Parts: sequence; C-alpha cells; structure tokens
Amino acid sequence: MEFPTQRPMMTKANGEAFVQIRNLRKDFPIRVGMFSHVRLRAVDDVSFDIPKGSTLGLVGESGCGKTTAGRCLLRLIEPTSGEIRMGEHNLTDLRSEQVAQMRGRMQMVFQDPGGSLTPRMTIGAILREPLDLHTNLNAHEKDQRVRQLLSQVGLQGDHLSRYPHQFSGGQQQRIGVARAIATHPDFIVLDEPTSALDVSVRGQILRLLTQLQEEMGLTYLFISHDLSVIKHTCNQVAVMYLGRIVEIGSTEEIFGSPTHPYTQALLSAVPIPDPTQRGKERLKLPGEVPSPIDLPPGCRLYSRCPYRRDACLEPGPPLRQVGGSHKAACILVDENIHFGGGNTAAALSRLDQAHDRI
Amino acid sequence: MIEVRNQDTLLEVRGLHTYFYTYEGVVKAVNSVSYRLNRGEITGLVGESGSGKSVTAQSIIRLVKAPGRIVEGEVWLDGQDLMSCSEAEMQTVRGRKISMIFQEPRAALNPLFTVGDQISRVIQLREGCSRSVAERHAVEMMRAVEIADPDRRASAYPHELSGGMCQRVMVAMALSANPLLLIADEPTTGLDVTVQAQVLDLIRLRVKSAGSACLFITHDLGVVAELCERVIVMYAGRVVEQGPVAEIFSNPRHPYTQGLIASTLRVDIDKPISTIPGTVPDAVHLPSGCTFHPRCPFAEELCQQEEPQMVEAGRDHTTRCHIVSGRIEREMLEEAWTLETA
Repeated sequence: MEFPTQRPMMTKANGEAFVQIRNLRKDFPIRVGMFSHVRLRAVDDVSFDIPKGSTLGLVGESGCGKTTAGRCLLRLIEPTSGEIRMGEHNLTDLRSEQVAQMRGRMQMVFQDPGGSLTPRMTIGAILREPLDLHTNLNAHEKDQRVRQLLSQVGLQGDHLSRYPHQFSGGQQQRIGVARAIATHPDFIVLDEPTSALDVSVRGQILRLLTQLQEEMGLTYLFISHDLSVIKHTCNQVAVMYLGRIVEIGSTEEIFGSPTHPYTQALLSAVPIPDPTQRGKERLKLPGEVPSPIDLPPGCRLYSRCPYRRDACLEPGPPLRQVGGSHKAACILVDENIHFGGGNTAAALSRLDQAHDRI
Repeated sequence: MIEVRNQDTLLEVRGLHTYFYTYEGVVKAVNSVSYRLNRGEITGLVGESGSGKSVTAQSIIRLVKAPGRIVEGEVWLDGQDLMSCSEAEMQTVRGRKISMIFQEPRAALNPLFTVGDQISRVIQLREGCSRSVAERHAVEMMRAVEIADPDRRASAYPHELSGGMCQRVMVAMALSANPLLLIADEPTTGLDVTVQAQVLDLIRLRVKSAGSACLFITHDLGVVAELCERVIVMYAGRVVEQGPVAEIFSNPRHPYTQGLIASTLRVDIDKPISTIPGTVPDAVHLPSGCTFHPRCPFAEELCQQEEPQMVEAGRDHTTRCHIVSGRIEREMLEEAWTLETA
C-alpha cells in the first residue's frame, strides 16, 4: 500500500458519504444460569453516513452502546449483522486477514491515554510499530516519519527515548493521536479522547484534532458523553439511547432544535457555567437507564419519558424526518409538527399540543 | 441573582499546610490555605487534578493518609478546634458533625452489608436508638433521597444497585447524621448528566433545609455555577482566588480562573475553543514565584521571583496576583486565551 506524505486539503463535509453504516447490530450473550443465555442487544439497527473530511459525534450516556458501535465499525469486535462501508470497501465482507491489512487506513484513539500506551516501550518504539506493520518504509524513512509525527502533534524530538509514564495526561494523548495518524489513515474513531484530561488541557487536544483533520482530510467518528465537546467538534450528531439512535442531524439542528424528549432532557441537564442562567426551566427525566437485557419492542425511553402513551409500546418507532437531515425516533414527531428553537418551554408546549392530537 | 443568606461562619480554615513526604521530595499538596464556610451555603472548591482540593477536605476531617501530614494550620468547626481534638473526639466529629460523600460510591460502601444496614448503623450511633427504629428511619431517609421502592431496596447490597442509586445511598447516609458540615468530593463525576442533575438537586435541597454548610469539590465549573454560593479556586496547592459565585464568573481576576472559565466549553453558546498553554506543574518541583507564571500569558519577571500575596479584588473577593495588587501595571485581555499557543 502506498502512503503519500501529503494529502490535498479537504474541505469539511463535501457531501458524499465516505463511511456508510447500515442496520448495524451487535448482540452479546449474557449467561444467566449454568446453561442458559439471554441476549443483550448493545447496538440495535444503527445506520449513518459520514462524509469525507467531516466528523460525526456519537453521544449518549454510559451503556448506550456508543463505544460498542465504534469498535464494530473498525471490526475490532465482530458485528452481529449489518453493513459497514468505508470508501470503496465493504468491511463486513472482508476476511479477518484482509481487515488486518486495512487497519493502516482506519485507526482509533482511546479514552485512557496512559492505559493505551505500552509502559515498557519508548515513545519512538510505540510510534514505529504501526509503520512496521503497515508500511514498506526503510529504517531511515521510518525514523524521519516518527520525528515528523512528533512535531505534528506538538512534541519534541528528544521525547523519543522517553517512556509513557514520563509524560502528563495531555502529552500522552498527543502520543496516542500521533500513533493513530502514523500510517496516514482515512478514518479515525475517537473514543472519548478528552474525557480523562483536565479542562485546561482538553482544548489543546481538541484543537490538535481539528487541525490534523484539516491538514490530512481525516474523517472522524467522535464518541463522547460530553455534549459541549461534541458541539464544538462535530458536523453531525447522533444521539444514542439503549443501543438505538433516537435522533440524528447536523450539529446546528440537534443543538438548536432538539426534538426527541431524550435529547431535550440530555441537553437541559448539562450544567451551564454561568450563574445568571441558574434556575432555567429543565426537562427532567425520572429514574435511570433500565437494564438493557430483554427490552420490550417499543420506544426505549418509555419507562422514563414524561410524554409516554400506550402507542409508544408498539414496535419501533422508526427515525422520521423532521427537516433537512434531521431525524428523530419519536411517535410525537409527525410531519405536521416541526419542533423549532432551543427553548425547552416552547418545545414542551409543542409536545403537549402534539399529545392532544394523538 | 444569588442572595446572601445566613452569614455566620461554621468552619474556618487558617493557614493550613499539608505536605506529603515522598522519595522524590516534599509535595506541598496544601500550601497556606485559608477560607471560611458559612451556614446554609454551598461553597465550590474548584481545581484540576493535583491542585490539592481533595487533600484540603481530608485535612479538615484529619484523614490524610501517610506519607502525608498536616504540618501546620488551624481548623475551627462551630467554635471547636479540630486540630487539638483527640482521635476519639475526632471520631464523634466525623460521625455527627461532618459527613463526607466520596467520588466512587461503590468503593465507599461496604459490600458485605445491605445498604439499609449501613444507613441504620449511622442512625443508631447518633440516636442511640434500637435497631428496629433505626431501620425504619433508614427507609425514610432512602425515601427522602428519592429512591423508588425504599422498603425493598433497603435489603439490597451495593453491587445490586446502579452507580446513581449508590450515590443516593451515600447522600442518605451522609445526611442521616444531620451534619453541620457536608463535604462532597466530586460526588457526580462518574454519573451520567441526567442522573447528575438529580443528585445535585438532592444535595441542594437537603443542605438548604437542614441549614448546614457544604464544601463541594469539583473540577466542573458548570456544576459550580448551578449549585454554589461561593467559589474557592485552587492551583498547585494554593488558593488563587475566592469570592461569591456571581462575582467570580462575571469578573474573574486571577489569570488561572480566567483561563479556566475561557476553556470551559458550553452547550448554550458558540465560542472558539480556548485553552491554557502548558500543563499542570510537577508537584515536587513547583515553579518559583507565582506557581502559575509558566502558563500565564501576562507573566512578567516579578512573577518568577516573588510569590504574590492574597489581596482584595472586590467585595468579599480575594485573589493572589501581582497585576491585581498593582505591583505590575498591565492589562489582562480576554483574547489572550483564544490565541494559538502550542
């Protein structure tokens, strides 16, 4: 495989889908007795497209399946069913050796920067490993590439002989990013890349990721539970709850006019760092995320939704178009009602009107 | 607006120094820290990892683990000098006057006893009542923290409950002693936002209705803005700024506080990603002078040489900066944080 050292500048989101996911599903068997198993559907019928050079944010609370979905995309774990296309390749058709060959083109950055670096290897060795596995560069070229990588992520050449524990969390994450871009990948799954970092350092990593995306035309899947990070880094957002996408759209659509009750609750629960905003109206969800084992067929939010009705227990609901690329999976969202504006109170009254009609 | 409530001081910390004697050298985890907590108020203690915020809390209840030691300082709780208390006296202070909620509820609960048992033991100790009375009281406490079906849940073990549920149990346990002071050390850090909102509501409601004081330790400025009346900002073992929450957010005077507020991303408004250059300093080899000077965009020579003293920066608002004290004449521009400083 050939790796040109410089790729042409890519403009963000030029339309055509580079990564295409269709009806992705992942079941895990959970042992309940000595011989019997139940099924845990961690990812349920997930579909989305990511245009070349853009970022899709996958957001949701713990246990919603966002990490499992990200790992299925790279076939780090095998999906139960569904189709994954990256560029001209259909990843689901490939045998595992063929997937291994593709690894240089799709990479991952992990949440725990310290834990994802081998403690016994120097930074130089860590960065050389992907080059050994995925390129035909000679020793001298590899050396050059490693140095180039360090400067790309803002580290110095004399860091090469150091070990991961000699770096701060932010620097360790820079190394994680350098390793991911070593083989000039097209697609990177970022799994909570800034969750373990301090606030003052988080911005540095986010800027680095955006800058590399522009330089190298990278396509990102950005997995996070932190809505403020998603808002500032992504072109599109998919909100997951218990394995399903409940709402998907452009970042402006999701943050400007959240439509699904879960998205609204999630957004209104985020604390705003401004004391003058205190006491604003909130949509609160009672209780907690239920166990994902043996879920009923209807809407996953049923047990916590303030607007639930009997119709919500019927299988589905499917994602319906709300406007533009904006879709939401809620029976209260039919074609006649457009939920606009970020104002929760207004959204609530619109939802109430919707109830009266059903 | 945030009204000023009951102004009488419940806890006063004066000149607290807690050092850790490690092989690499002395870590001054808490360095000359002073503050007051008022009754009926929630005070946010903000800082990044290694700023000394948790050690401050451990020092108040005198539970600093070796090789750490409280080197000097005074802690006064409701007129009682905690530093001169015997260990036996401290035991009653910890149980009855100060309660603590920890970050990891599962690790703080005993896995071998049901949660009902653990709450009722606290009540039994305080009230000296019979076990059955305490158990009934425990169920009521669980109901008060909005645990659904408390009669059944009381006989559950911690592993059978979710993280959010365990944190509610911790809150119930901490508040069943009816403490004067509640110390909450990152109580919502591991929780999902929808559950975090519930736990914060609960702490606010309970602290207000009991008229106790609360020291709320967090790294999340959003939580501080929503919950607290006062803020204490720590950096590298020192308090760099403190004051009323509205004042700190609208008129932060210390460059670190400014940088922290600037680099906090928000879901409600669009703004460029800001960041503080550099990293948190190594605790053993702290920078000379002002510990923040290597990362400060306004630093001058004096900042490397001399440590700034705490000065008035407004009404009930103090900070530690040469520019605020007037030793250095310089303007602090907000744009400094949005510039690329790789």
